[in-house]
Amino acid sequence: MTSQPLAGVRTALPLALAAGLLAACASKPAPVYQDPGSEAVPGQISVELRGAVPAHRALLSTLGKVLDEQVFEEDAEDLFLPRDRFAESVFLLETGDEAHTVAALKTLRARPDVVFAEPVVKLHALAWSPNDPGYQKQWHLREAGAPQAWEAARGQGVTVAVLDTGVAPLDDLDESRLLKGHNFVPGGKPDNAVDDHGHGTHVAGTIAQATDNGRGVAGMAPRARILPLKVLDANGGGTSAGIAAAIRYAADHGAQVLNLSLGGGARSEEMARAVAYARRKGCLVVCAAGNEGVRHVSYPAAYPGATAISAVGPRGSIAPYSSFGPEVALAAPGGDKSQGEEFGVLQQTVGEDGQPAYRWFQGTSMATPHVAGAAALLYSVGVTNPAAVQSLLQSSARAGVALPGAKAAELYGSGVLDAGGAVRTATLWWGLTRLFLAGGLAWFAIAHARKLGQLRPRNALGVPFWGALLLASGGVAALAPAGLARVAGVSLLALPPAAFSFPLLGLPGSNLAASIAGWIGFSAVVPFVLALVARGLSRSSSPSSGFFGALVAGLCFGQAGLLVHAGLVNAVHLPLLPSFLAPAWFLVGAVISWGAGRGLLAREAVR
Amino acid sequence: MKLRGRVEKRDLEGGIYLLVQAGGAKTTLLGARAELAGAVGQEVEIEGEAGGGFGLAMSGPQVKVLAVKKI
Repeated sequence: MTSQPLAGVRTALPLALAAGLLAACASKPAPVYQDPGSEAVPGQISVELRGAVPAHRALLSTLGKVLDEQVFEEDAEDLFLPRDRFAESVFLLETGDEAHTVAALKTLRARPDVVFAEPVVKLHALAWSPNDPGYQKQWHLREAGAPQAWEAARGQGVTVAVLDTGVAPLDDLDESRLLKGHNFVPGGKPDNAVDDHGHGTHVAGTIAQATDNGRGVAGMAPRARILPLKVLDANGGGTSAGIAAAIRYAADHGAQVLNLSLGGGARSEEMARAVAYARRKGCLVVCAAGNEGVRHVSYPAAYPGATAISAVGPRGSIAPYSSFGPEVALAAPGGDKSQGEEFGVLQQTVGEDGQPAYRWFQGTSMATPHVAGAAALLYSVGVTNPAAVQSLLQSSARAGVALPGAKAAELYGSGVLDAGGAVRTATLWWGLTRLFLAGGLAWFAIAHARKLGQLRPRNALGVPFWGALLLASGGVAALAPAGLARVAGVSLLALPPAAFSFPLLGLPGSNLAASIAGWIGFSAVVPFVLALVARGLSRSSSPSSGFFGALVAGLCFGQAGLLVHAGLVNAVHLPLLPSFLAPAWFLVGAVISWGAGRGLLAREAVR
Repeated sequence: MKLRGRVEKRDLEGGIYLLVQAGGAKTTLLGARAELAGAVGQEVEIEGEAGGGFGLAMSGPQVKVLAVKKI
């Protein structure tokens, strides 16, 4: 596969337009050249062809220079056939001047194997859409709410362990986000976690396929890191001992989300304990419910502490193969190819011949990484307690299609994944709540100080105070769904400052520095120390009357609001701190932060 | 172990093979994909061994195929 930089040209949207007009183009002659006006990219056309790829290449080489090429396998029944035999291919062709472009379009549109041929146009979409040409075929990402989630989060700083057949390094997986893996298959080389089947690579693609790179397809959490852990052999089988060891390995090596697109019918105490261990260490363990199509959830999905995922098709109805039961937490798109090949889940993987291929797969294995990717997005905006992540995913889920004689809760759990809704709650609504709490705490302190005559009406606290309060409370995160993630650097503001260390050092628990930063960030240490400095520097009876004092006072109340919120929703995992004690830690920190801020309003002690 | 039944291919997880025995019991077949591809829809005798309790197929018990004999 060849590729050239596309220089900002968004090819995905023209392809979308083309897909929408597909039937019309096929049934009647299209105009030879529709002038797209000033938005046209001179000398470039997109063309999709069906049939043998080598013949396409030969044809196109007579019309211009192929800048990019994407091949999509048509039918999974052809797994054992050469990948060039039956395929849809989308080419980006450089044709030269306008006369050549018109001639090339005329030639291509006259051919029966051409699905569409059109000039490339620049489009400026209101909603962000990745420029991967195959993205328009990924109905499942849109069904999972990924485009809305991408406005606020892309998974930066989060590690997702993929316990599967391994992961193959492919051109549409960002090499820098693929961590060194480990092999748990008996007899395998421990440091070789390369995929020799294709399943694990497909799953990893759904989680973190290179996205907006002008080629191939997209993934749910494109800036997350993948930790490949090979637990299934080339035949797709594995043992409870290997899987249990890999779960513990993932939890001990910095993974926040574990994706297990695998299962079996036998309960293993060793694996159950491994799942519980990972959960205690702050990991969300996302597991496939199974493919037997019966009321029986397979293991490890059925263990306490695991998040069991059933599969739905393109219309939000349970897929015919999906297992279900009371253990199901959530449903997600896993494909339903009984409605057509293109209703599978499309990602890049390795084919039988070991070559890269784009394939539509279906199964609860395909549903699971949509949830794992959505979880990575939530971790990346500072929600690091797995219970809070799961709660957000479940509370934002959409209702699945009701079926007569079946309990919806057993088919879909809380509903069908809506990553956009979950991320919106964690940024917009939680940001506003934190701001409201911080403002309320500040108002209470100011009113108290004024009542005691310590603060006079003329002592306006001004922009430094309220600005610091807004920032420290994480209220700015409320703006994240407006597109903060689109802008490099600014995307940090989707996090409260207490979590600014997450993308830089890693999430608490992933390494010592990150854990220390997490403990300090979600405590009263910073506001308390700064308040002491502000009091020491100020000679006024009201330290907050100065710029620095006002700034620190605002920070104290902002942090107090943040910590009260963290205590109420138990959103943050701190290493070594049992989950049930965390709210107490946050609330004590909130009281100290509030006291530090209150102390800056007046030098006198509170009576 | 030896099992008898009809080979079916399911378009799940990229493609899996099942052995459907006379009573309707289904067993996931691991490995020997080329031989199984040529035996889809046919009655066969499978010689195999336990394929590990877990896998990507999640479609019932698994057997690692050592040999496929068409009946």
